[in-house]
Amino acid sequence: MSPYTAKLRHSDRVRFLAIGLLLCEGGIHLQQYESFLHSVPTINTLFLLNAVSAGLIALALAASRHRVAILLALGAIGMTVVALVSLAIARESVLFNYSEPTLRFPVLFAALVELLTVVVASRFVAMRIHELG
Amino acid sequence: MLVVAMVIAVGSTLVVLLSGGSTGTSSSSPAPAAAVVGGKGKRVTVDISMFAYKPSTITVAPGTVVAFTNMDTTEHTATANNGPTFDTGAIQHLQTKTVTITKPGTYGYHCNFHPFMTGTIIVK
Repeated sequence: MSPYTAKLRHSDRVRFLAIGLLLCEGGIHLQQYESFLHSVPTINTLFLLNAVSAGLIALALAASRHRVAILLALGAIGMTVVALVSLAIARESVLFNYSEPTLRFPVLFAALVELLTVVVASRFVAMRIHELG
Repeated sequence: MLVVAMVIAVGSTLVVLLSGGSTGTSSSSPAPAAAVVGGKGKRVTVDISMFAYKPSTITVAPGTVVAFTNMDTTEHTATANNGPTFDTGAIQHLQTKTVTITKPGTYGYHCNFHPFMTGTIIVK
């Protein structure tokens, strides 16, 4: 273990995990946009927005600590919950003229990553609030 | 160490996703076919690809069997706008379902799962 890593607080490790999950979430949305959904009205824009937002939040979270990091993590949680709820709606009915009747592998993988993102980012928020007193 | 492991894990995931899923781009739907094709019992194919019916408009003779083949990985349908004329039901990936229309007329249709997908079958 390097001296730098040894100095990291546990919450920082959780923060890096959240950053990785956010990048993964954005990557999946970008891949689905590029290969599959770019011709679907509205949904294509939303997927692109999710990818860009996830990337930007991840970058900002990597550069932030303390209270700003808490706000960014809350933003990531909000964005990811919206993505999960949208997927749930599209599975059961039609959302923006689009439904997702097939449980494709990217759909399952995205849902798993998004669930983990919410859990890890929430854990980071709780830990950082505790550290800041 | 943890950071390096995370970067490698995320990077490799992205590489796999970005290299594995792309099916390339396809051109827009060809121009509507003006000529009458098919005939009683003959088969005309409409591919469903990238959320579009290709060709989007076909002109067929009465009794022609129109076969819809789904090339997308998500399910689609070909459902007549007027309801009872025809409905393929869900067409799975690489599955083909057929409809036969015997009465002349213009029949618009759509996908029940993705209503922005539309096509037209002209029977004459």
